[in-house]
Parts: sequence; C-alpha cells; structure tokens
Amino acid sequence: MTSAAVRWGGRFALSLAAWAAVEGLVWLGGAGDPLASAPGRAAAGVFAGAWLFIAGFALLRLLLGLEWSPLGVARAVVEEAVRMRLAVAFIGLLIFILAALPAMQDAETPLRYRVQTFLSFGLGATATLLSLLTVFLSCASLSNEIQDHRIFTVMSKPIGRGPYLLGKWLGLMLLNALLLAVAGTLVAGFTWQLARETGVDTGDALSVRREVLTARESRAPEPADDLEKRALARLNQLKKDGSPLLVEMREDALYAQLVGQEKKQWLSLAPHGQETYVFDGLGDAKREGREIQVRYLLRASQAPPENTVTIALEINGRTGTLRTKVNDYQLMSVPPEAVDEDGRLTLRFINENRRHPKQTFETTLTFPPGDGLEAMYERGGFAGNFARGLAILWLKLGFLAMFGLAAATFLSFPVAALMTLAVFVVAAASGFLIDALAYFGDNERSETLKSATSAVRWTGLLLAEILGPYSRYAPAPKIVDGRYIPFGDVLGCAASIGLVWTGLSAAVAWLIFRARELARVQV
Amino acid sequence: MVANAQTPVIECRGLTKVFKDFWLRPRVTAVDGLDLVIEPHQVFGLLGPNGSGKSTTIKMILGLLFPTKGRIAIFGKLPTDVETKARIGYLPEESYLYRFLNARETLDFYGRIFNLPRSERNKRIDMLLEMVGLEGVQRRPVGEYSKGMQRRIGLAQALINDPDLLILDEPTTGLDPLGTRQIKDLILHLKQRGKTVLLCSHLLADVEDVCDRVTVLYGGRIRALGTIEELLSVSDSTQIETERLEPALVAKVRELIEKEHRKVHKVEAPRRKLEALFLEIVQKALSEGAATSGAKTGGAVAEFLAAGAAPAPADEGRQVIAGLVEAAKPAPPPEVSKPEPAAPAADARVLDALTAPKPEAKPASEEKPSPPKAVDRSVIDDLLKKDDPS
Repeated sequence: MTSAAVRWGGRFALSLAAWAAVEGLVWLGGAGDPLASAPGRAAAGVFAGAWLFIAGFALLRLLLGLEWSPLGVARAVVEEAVRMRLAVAFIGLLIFILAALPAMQDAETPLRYRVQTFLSFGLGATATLLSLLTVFLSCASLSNEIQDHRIFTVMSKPIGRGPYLLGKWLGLMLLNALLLAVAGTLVAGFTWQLARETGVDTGDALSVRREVLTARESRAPEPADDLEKRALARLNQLKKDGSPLLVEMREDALYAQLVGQEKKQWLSLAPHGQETYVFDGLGDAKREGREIQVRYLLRASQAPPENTVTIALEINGRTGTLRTKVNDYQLMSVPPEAVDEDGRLTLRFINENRRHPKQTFETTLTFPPGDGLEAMYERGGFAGNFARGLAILWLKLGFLAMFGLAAATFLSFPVAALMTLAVFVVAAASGFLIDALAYFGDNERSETLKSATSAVRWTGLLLAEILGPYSRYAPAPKIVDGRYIPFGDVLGCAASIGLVWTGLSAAVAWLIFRARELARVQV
Repeated sequence: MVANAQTPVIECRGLTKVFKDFWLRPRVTAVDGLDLVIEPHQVFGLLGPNGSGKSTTIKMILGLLFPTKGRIAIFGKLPTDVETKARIGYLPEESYLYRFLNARETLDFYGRIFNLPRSERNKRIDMLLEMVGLEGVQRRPVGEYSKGMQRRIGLAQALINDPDLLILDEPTTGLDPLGTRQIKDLILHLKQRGKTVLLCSHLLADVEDVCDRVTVLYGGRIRALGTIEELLSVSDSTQIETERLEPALVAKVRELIEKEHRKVHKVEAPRRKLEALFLEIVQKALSEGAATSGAKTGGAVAEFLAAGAAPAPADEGRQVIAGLVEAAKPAPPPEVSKPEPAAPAADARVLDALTAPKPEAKPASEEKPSPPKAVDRSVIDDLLKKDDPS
C-alpha cells in the first residue's frame, strides 16, 4: 500500500467519523431521521459531495494523463479551477443551497410540490452556477494567460494555436462533466430522500411517483379545423371592413393575435358548450398497455363555489360526469383501451352538469394554451430522464465555454466575461424575448422613434431567434414535471448547440487567435 | 537533432517591426531592418540597452509577434512552424509560469506538450530538478517560489526537450551568483554539445564570458556585430600576468620595458572576483550542512543534456556544475591576460626575457580570456617605495 493510499484512507475514515458524529448529534437532538433535518442533510451532502468530487477528480486526472498534448493543456485548466478553489466554491455553494432548500419549505405543502420545488431550484442553481463558472473560467483561462504572458512560454512549444484552444475547451468540458456529475448526484440523491418523506395523504405520495419521479411522453390535442386559416379569413375581413385595428397595429402582430384568439376560442367551453379534442400518437401506450394520464388545467371566467365545477366528459361514445377543481392542474387516468387502433384518443368536454343541467355553473371554462390540456403516458424512468437532462445542460455549457474562449482571444477578461454573460442571458431568455419583442414599439407614434424601436426589435428578434434553441432545450422544467426527454432532444441539442454553435464559435476563436500577436509593444 | 551545418539556425533578413496604435498609425519602430544570421553551434549574444529591440526580435523569432517587414527562418522554416518549435527551448525575460502548479507538474506540463513519453519525461524531470537544485521543493507551488527559484524552474522547462536552439532572454535576472555561474557553465556545455544558444542580455559580463559572437542593438538597428575577440581586443597595449614578483623584480621589468621605449601604464596585484568569494562562502555553508528552504546548489548537468557531448579536454563538459566547487575555492593567481592578436617584435623580445626563467608558464593559446583589471595604484607605490633608495 502506498503512502498516498494510506493518507487518503485516513482522510476518508476521518471524514466518515465526522459525518457520523453530526448525524448522531442530530439524532440525539430528537430530530428523528437525521437525513430529514437540514443539518443532517447538509452533513450528508458535504460528505457525499466531497468524496464524489475527490473520486471523480482522481478519475479525471487519470483520463487527462493520456499522452496527447491538448490534454496537457486541458489538465492545466482543470488544476487551475480546482486549486484556485473555484470548483470547490461551486460545490460548497451548491451543497449549501441543496441542504437549505427543503428546510425553507412548508411541511404542510403537498409532498409533490415540495419535491418539484426542490428539483426546480436544485437544477436551476446547478445550471446557473455552472454557467457562471464556465463563463468566468473560460474567459479568465485564456485572457489572463495572454495578459500575464504565460502564453509566451506555452506558445514557444510545439503546440499549434488550434490544439491549444481545443485543450482549453476540453479542460472546461471535462471539469463541467465532473461538476455536473457531482451536482446531479446530489440533486437526485436529495430528491429521492425527500420523496421518501410522508405526504399530506396517500394520494400525495403516489402523485410524487406518478407525476414527478417518472418520465412521461406528452401529446397535445390537434384542432380539427385549421385555426390559422380561420385567423387569416378574419384578418381579410377586417381589412375589407377597414378596421381601425389595422391602423393601431402592424398586420403581422394582428394576425398573430388573431391566431391566438382562435386557439383560445378552440380551447374554451362556453356554458353548455362543448368541444372535441383528439390526441394522436398514443399507439405505443396502447400496445404496451400503459395508462394514459390526461393532465389539464381549467380556468373559469367566474370563480365557482369551492373552485369546483361539474362538467361532462365523453370518451368513445360513453359520457360521464366529472367534478373537477379549476385553477389547478388535475390528472385523470384513462385506460389504454380508450385509445383507438390508429393510436388516437378522442375526448369531448361538455361544460354542463348532465345529471342536473339547471345546476350547471354558468362560466366559460378555458384550457390555457401550451400545457393546459395534454395526454401523457409513462415512457421511462426518472434516472434516465435526469441523465439525459444533464447531458443537454452539459452540451449547452460546452457552447458557453467555447464562446467565452472565443471572446477571450481578442478581449480582456472583464470585457470578454461581460460579452459572454450577455449572450448567455439573451440565449437563456430568448423564448421570453421573442414574445416580448413581438409587440415592442407598436404604440409608438413618432416616426423617428418608430424606426428606432423597429431596429431594436428586429435586432433583438434576430439575436433571440438565433439563440432560440438554447432556451428551447431546457431540461429542468421537463424533469420537474416528470416529462420524458427523448434521446432525440439530446442529439438535436448536440447537433444545433454542440456542433453548429460551438463549432462556429470555435472557428471564430481559431481564426482570431491564429492571426493575433500574443505579445505587445514593450520598447 | 543537430542543425544542418549548411542551414543557419536563425536567419533574419530586413526584419522590421513597427507597432501601431489603435488607429493603425505607426507608433514605435522597435526593430528596423535587422539582418542577422546565427550559425549552428554558436553562442550568440544579443546586446543592447532597454528598449533597443532585443526582446521584440526574440518574440518575432518565436512567432509571438509577426514582422511588419522582412523575413525570419528558424532552421530554414517559418517561426510558426510547430515542428520547428520542438527544437527550441525558450526562457523568457521573466518566468511566466502557472503559479498553481508545482515544479514537477510544471515540467510535466511542458514535457507533455513536447509529446515526450511518460518514462522519458519523468527521467528528465528528475534530472532537471536536480540540476537546478529544486528537487527538495518540487512539490511546492511555483507561485510560492522566490524570483530566483522561478528562474531556475524556468530554465529547466526550457531544457526539457534537449533543444537544438536555446533562446535565453535575460537568463540571469533574479539569480544569485551561484545560479548565474551555473547558467553560464550550462551555456558553455551546450555549446560544446553542438547546440546553438541565443543569449539576450544587458549584463555585459555574462555575455562576454560565454558568447562567441555578439551584436549590439540600439534603436532597433545593429550597431556592432562580430566575435568577442574582434570587438574587444585592444591592439595598442600588452598585459602580462605572472606569479607574484618581488618589488625589485618589478623594477627590473619596468626598467627593461622603458629601455625599449615603451610606457608602463600600471603594475598591480590582481584581486579575486566577488563572484568567486561568494561561491566559496556558499560552498562552505553547504559542506557544513546548513539548512535552507530555498533552492539548493544546482547539481550536475542533466544526463540527457550531457549525453553526446564531445569529450572535452580536461573533462570540462561533464563537470560543469562540479566546476562550481573549484570556482568557489580561493582563485589561483590569474594565469594570463588577454591573448595578443599579433605582438610586435619588440614585445616578443620583452616576453622572451621575462619568461626565460619560468619555463613552466602556460602558452598563451591555452589561456582563458580575462577582462582588464582595475588599476591598484598602491601596489605600484609600494614597489616604487621599496626600490627607491630615498
């Protein structure tokens, strides 16, 4: 046994004893299950996180020890991050957040919400902290090396500028992989631990398993009519009528609004009205005999007593009465037999109390567009879904790392970091920006200002559209809602963000870096 | 890996570097039409005051700066050629190293860039650490090192690939006399192995001790270029160095010279160099086992750097560092003065007269060049007093 093995064995034993002591103290303090208390959870997190990180780092070093010069550069990046305490600070902060989160939640809140909140914040914190770490580390790693002239020594050696940049990026990617693996293990571990706690009722505990710790495929209903055609017809009519709306709004904005109205109309049920919704693509569920979960949210134009309405639902010609809450997501189980041979499930909602029509509460019910009405079925497990989600996060971090390096090839650290941060924010918020910018400046009367706002809108929209996939590939909300992340999403993300964006950033970085002088005037 | 004798190691033709400002207006002409050829196996000194363009030239040679005009060939190829860089070792003017890596990791990092196999890399690292005297502190981060220790590890990284061309930019900056001496000995040793060294310095004594050829830059232009001999020889005076002479004998010599109608400018007792005294003190402390947390005295030249050296007369090559010990001993009376390029007949007669009773004196051709000593008038005064009957 080598002295290093003895030394590390001693450290492990010591930390194990320290962890056991904390858990013991928590137990003696009468907190029951030590892992259910914040201090006990924090101690477990510190112990597990620290040793996962140490073991992962040792493995990473082995990998980086392979004989290839860019891996030598990569290793320097990883060592810098670890020895300058950046990576350690990240893990420390994450453990603190994860340990503190459950303690900040109300024990009276349904367990499903607590688990979802924890997952949402845990994944959000991981993605945000890692993104920030990647932005700063990628920019600092290169620009500081140029700034303090370390690059003189490195670039006088037989390594091209391209392989050098590749080494830097590989270092960041491998470090991110390690940190993501540790953070992911902690988030998943804490989630499973939290899910073991007692729910407010038996249904609550069951819903955690059915709605959170799962991976469900989702299908949205397809309208029977072409809503866009209907919207276009309405627009043409408005034009014909010389509607003042066309003076107040741009035509494209008005059309978009009309399409939205048509969709809303289709998803609305007037009192005593009805609408049929067809969910396609459920053949797999039928074949595999998987239960269909219809998830819906009903918004009422007028609040009914106890927030509950009684409506009718028709499936395959058989009508039943459905007493359901409004303004809250509901889940309804439908047997796979209800799906027809073509893999379609047809539901007809009738906004009427069929048993006592006179007792129908007179309100318009609406399924909000987006996720207001969908049919789901279990497609896989939580662990695989979680892993695919982390893979998408990792690919996105890869783009940020390369963009940061590209910025640092010609900018000083603060400017490069600011620029990369701006791109990150625009990319992450691109979905919101596209919506917000669509109507930006519409109410502007002054022609001069109208041109200016128009330029801002189109520039913003262009940028947001280009960076759109960054926000479209958002795994955290899917994991939180127990939605299936298909492997195709990982491949799609790898192709668009990984290959195209990162590749373009790499090409720009290489072109600038090979053309620039690394020294400056010193006479 | 020795350069082809036909191809210059470094060839610069009309090399010009103009630094421009933000608006691309010429601001500073750092190097102006430099023509320079460095042949293999030379130790070439690049001299000049601060801002004369030395470092800019080196950076262009390394491909860190691009020439505004002119061209550079290193081993016949462009400076940016990656394969050519495998034959170059470079010590920058300051040790630009990763502060978070320790000495061993630093050398391993650079060794990996040269794609040295692991076993060879480890062997070289061990040897280099021993050579630069950092084996005892090899696990400490480089950022905690003193400036001199950082220079030592900087030197070690420059040698990890056993370079054919070693570029040293102010190599002795921050080094103690021991380290300075070691670098000079190392340069001589590498030269003996057929390596080429480009030494950039404004410490003239260092350059004079080791360089075959030098060029002096000022304002980015060459002001002088030639061998040390060509540039430093003083043709109108003669210096003789002998064992200590009695005052009476000195008077006789003086008389003899004056009889030949020559003037005696000075007669002095030589002094030891402060460097020699310093080395002696350190050596003594080492032999007493005095503790130090800093760098130790460098060891012998790393074996991989010594391998292939031509067997030198007096085994000089393999014992470069060991020579430090000898250098630390009280210096024997300097053997000879500067070699004379061509002594006139009258001088030859004087020499014959002087050397006749001392047939064991070494011939001038074996003697090491030595810079002129400062005049110590007190010795002459003593001699004159004793010989003066009044």
